[in-house]
Amino acid sequence: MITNVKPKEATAIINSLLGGVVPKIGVQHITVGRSDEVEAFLKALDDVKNGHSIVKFWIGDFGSGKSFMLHLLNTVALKQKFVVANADFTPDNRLYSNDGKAVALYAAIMDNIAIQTKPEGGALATLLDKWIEQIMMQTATSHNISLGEIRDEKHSPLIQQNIVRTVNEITEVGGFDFSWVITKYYEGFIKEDDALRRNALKWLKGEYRTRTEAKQDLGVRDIINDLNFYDMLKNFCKLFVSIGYAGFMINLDEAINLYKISTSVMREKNYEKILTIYNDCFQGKVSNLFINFAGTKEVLENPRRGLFSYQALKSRLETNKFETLEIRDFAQPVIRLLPLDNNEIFVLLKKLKEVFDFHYSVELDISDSDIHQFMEELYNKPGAAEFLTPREVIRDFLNILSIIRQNPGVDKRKLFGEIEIHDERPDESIFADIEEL
Amino acid sequence: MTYLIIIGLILFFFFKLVTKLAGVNDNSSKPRSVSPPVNRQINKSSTYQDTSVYKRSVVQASTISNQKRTMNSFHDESIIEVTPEPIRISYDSYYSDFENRSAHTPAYDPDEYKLGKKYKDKLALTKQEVGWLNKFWNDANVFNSIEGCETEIVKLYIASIKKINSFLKKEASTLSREIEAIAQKSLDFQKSQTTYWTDYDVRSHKESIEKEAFQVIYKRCESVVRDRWNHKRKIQAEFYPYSPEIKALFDERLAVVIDDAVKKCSQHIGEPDDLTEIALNEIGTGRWKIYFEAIIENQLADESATIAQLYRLGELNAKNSNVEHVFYEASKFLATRDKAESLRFYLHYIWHDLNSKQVDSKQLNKTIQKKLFSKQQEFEHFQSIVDDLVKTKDLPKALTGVSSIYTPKRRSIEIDISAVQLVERQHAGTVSILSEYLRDENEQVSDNIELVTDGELIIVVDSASPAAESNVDGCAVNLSAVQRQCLQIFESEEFVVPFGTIDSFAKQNGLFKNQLIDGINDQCMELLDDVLIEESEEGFEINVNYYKKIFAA
Repeated sequence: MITNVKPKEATAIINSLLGGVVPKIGVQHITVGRSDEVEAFLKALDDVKNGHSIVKFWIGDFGSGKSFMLHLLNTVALKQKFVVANADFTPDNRLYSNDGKAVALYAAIMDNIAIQTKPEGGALATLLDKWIEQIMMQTATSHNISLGEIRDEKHSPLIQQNIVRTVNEITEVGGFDFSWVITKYYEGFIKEDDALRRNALKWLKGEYRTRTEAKQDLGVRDIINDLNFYDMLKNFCKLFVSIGYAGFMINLDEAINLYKISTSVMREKNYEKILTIYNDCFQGKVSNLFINFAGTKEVLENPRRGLFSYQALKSRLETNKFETLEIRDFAQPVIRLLPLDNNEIFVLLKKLKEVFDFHYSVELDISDSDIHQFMEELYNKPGAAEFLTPREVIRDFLNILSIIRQNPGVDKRKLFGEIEIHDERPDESIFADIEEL
Repeated sequence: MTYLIIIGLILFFFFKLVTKLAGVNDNSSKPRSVSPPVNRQINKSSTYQDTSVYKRSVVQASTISNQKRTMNSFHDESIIEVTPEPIRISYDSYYSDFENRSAHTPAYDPDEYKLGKKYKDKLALTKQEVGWLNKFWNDANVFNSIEGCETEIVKLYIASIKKINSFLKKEASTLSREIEAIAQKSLDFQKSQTTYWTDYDVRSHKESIEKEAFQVIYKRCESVVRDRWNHKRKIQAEFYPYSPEIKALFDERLAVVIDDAVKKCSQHIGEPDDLTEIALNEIGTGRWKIYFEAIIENQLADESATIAQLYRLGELNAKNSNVEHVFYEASKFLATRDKAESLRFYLHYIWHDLNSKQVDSKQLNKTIQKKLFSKQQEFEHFQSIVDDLVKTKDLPKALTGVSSIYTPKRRSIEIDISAVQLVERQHAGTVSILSEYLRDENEQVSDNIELVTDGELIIVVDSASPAAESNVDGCAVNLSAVQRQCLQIFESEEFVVPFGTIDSFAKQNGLFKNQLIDGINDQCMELLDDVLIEESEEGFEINVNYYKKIFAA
């Protein structure tokens, strides 16, 4: 019987996995076969907490566990007081563009900002409120003003002064406009002017499309656009650290959408942006920033369209030549996620059975030999070799446990025989039609 | 001696006769005695250009020959019979048999090889229908030489003529009358062109127009049948009279009626039977493509039915010199639908290709091969089947072999106990480390925010100004009095409180809204392992179950 799982964790694990998603809590109990990878990213998290910046590329085929690892990273980072943002590359979201697609990615990142108490995203306003409250408390303390009085309008210049000073300390590029807008946010906060706060937030999230509109609403000269959004991310990173967070972690999934950019010039510009970020992080030009990219092997290694098509990135991301399948190096920027082997899947299913028993307070008659047979049945189904993923193995196993729990007399072997495997991969046939422009 | 006397007498009479004849010739035409007519006739080629001389000499020669022929009938007493008694040829038996000649030699029948006679019994035609078919000589071609096609054309032709008559009946006319009128017009025209006309010419001309008109109807019927049965080669079905005016008259009076009638009757054209299909596919080597496209476009939900249709298409092209392409295309089409059947069709292709005049050995392209063979083993297995087929030409054996390519080979899963134990140990370590990371932060993080500037701790503010109280009033978490009051507001407001209300409450107590909420959440995190108070569109919201859990004690 498993001992170190909390009942709440067990519930979350069973319910989430049955639904085919990663659980919000208790994820450590199903992290089987990823010890080295976990150690690598915990080390990276510690480094980032200590002021370093890191870029990691999580590379693996469909079903290898990229999304699971990013989720695990999320969970741990939130607990470790990181501000976390997730965004996917899409045909309309990329790192470089001149038609608003880059600022669209920025807007997606800012919209998904999460903290431990607001893990679902949309935490930017909360963070700004917190920060302003801190500034107010700091001002009150340094000027011996009670917290009840500090809200008075007569103390506003003091607070604004503090805001501008802090912002000036943390910003490099676009600091004037950034501090101006933050001050406007403060005005809205203190005067309870929701429209002003909303406009300031809109500007900070990169949602203004024209300077005229921004000037009309906030009196600011510039807006966040395709060219300066990365500077703003760096500014925010410093702001979050100044609030007291350990760092800013940005997870960018579906890098295949960069690979799919049909114009080679535009694709290279995007890869150039990745190189800029990579260099900034590893050359110490930015602190407490942790950026993760997730994609398939093709995205990394394709010599014509992948990251390796950009020579400067290839030389940085190439595999350690001394690494083999047995001797791995997880300190590299690229972490290759290999599919779980049979022994690892076996252990995972055993753990799940224990968690299931614990959750329902039962002792199901499923032995190790039954698990072995379940695996054998599953791997011998048509299509198993091509598209069976751990997600499907887990879901089918839990579904069978669920049936057995509710129907104790049911024939296990018959249930194992009735499993069907479906191809859940995204339709990649469209990639074949991409034309080089 | 007697013989010598007889020979001498013969020579004497012969000489006398020749002398007499020479005297006659001298009287009729003196110059012609210069050269004998026989010689002239022999030298005909040398004087071929002088036709008048040639004609004269022919006339003379014929005269002489006539005289020679009649010589035997001269009753000349001087000639004595020296030959034995001749046997007279008796013509009696010959002439007496002449009356019964039809019993042994068939009489000449002008309609012997016409369509009417051919189909009279087969299609149980009436006398009139036979007559319509016998109006013309059918020009055979590759299409109508196929019996099924000809039968269908004949049926359509008869039906069309009936329909034409029914159309014309409304105008109080008939097809015969219309053709008669056209023929008369044509005749008038022809008469105006030449002066010499006999009754025979009149009759012949009319018959010719009639034949032409009926043949046009027949050809148009053939054209429709060709089109319906996807025989793409067209034929001419125009009326060609002696003058444009007659053609215009035909087009005006009959062409439209014929087309309408044929079109109406064509609805009843049936489908060709298998023999006809095979014959049509033999003469139209690309005809199968039309049927192949139709099968693809109208795919049936039942895949096996589509496959059966494709096989049948192959059978119907058995005599088609391009039959292998039917199987090749079917193989390509089925590659994404039924891999085993796709391979079987490809084997059919190989077999037909091997038996064709020219061996193409077309390969399936790489994309299709990728679809068909997910493993190298499958490809190699199939390659061995193909090699064997090429060697032995044993198609049934090759087809049987395909089933085994995709038969799943049961894969046994090897579980290594020592490896499992290692994985378990590693997993335990991972759980331990991760739990530490996850737990540590919960414990370390308080609602106090540490502001770090230049690596120095500059301020620490206790958010829960009033000291956290110990567990009282059955509360499982150490909450301050303000925090408890805040939670009471939630309870009174049914666990959803507007932002403004919390903000006012925080102000009253000298706190900030987020500071207060975060303080409560952080205090409860250890117990709940989740956030107690969350933001929603309506304001702050509490999970009732969590609330009960906190105050359960």
